[in-house]
Amino acid sequence: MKYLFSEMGEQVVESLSFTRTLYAFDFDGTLVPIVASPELVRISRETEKLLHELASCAAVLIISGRSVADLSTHITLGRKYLIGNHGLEGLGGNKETIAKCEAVCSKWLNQLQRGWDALKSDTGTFIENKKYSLALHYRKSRNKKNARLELFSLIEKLQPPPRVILGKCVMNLIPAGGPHKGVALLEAMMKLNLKCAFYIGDDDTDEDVFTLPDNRIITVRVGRRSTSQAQFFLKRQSEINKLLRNLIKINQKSTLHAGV
Amino acid sequence: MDSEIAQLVKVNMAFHNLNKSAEGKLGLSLVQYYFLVTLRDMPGCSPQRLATAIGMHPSTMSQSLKRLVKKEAVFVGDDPKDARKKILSMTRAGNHLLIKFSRGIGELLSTREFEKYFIFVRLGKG
Repeated sequence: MKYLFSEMGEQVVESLSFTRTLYAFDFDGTLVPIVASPELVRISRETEKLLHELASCAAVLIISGRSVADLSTHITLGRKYLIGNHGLEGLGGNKETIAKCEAVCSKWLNQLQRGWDALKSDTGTFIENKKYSLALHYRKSRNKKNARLELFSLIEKLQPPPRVILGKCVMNLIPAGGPHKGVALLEAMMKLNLKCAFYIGDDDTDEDVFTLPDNRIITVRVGRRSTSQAQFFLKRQSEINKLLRNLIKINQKSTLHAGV
Repeated sequence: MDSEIAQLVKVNMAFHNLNKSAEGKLGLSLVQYYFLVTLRDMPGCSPQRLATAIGMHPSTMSQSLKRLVKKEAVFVGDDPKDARKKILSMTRAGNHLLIKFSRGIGELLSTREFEKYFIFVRLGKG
């Protein structure tokens, strides 16, 4: 993993501006800092302004585990820039699959609520219902290790069994057959007829993008981690504005439309 | 057969002359142009992968790569995932060369010498 603001990182990022590139961002932990409760997130005015500016000169998408409805309450970029529920919403996916995911999630919700009261852990765990997927949060739990184990014991009883993606103090439950962020990114590239992509994220759910065996995608992780499959890293979330400024600068200078 | 071989040799020489003229006037030979155009859509790819995309053997490609690095059109760095490997990306200077080439190649191909042999080449003519 190399630091994105190294000579090589900057060269690679600049080379993206010479072709039709999709700039895709994760939301929590990338565009906004992680907070104790998901509803408390606030995107900074500066970040939002920079995103709008970048969207005016390049293709931009936000790919999140949140639902599109939830995302759109936190960001004014417009729904066409948002992909929610790990790729299930925002790409005009198969209606049958979406309906199936909704039905499965409501089944899980019933099963989980029955077992929830029996949880021995403190009250720091809660279920986030994202309609087509569920997220079990335990960030506020005093004993995170225990909370995690108890949640796992609940998850293993769920029928039909979910695909579990572990995040930062959260377990994402996705119905089988549902897409992941990697699939969503590739589908968006194909739909928008773009040749390359730049993706930045901070969580385990983003590893689905980082592990894609596709040379057209440049991947960046917020926070260095040796086990991550991302090519580059940012030291911390607060560097996102610097990155956005760089991307705007190179795309405004770009001669992409000069008729090559 | 002899006349066909003679024609082939003439085409080969015309191609050689075109390459020389293109590199002299536009800064890139045809092969270098193809190399850069392919690399433009594969930023950060490995030399092997680029060679496969171009349809060239990696050892043949290394000469073109050296020339392009000398022209500062291509940047070579260590692969962030594996320090034993290298990755390539096109630089801003490389992009300028591509633009210059695209704008000038049509004119070069329309000269009498090349038109005769490259009447089938529509490169740069839309």
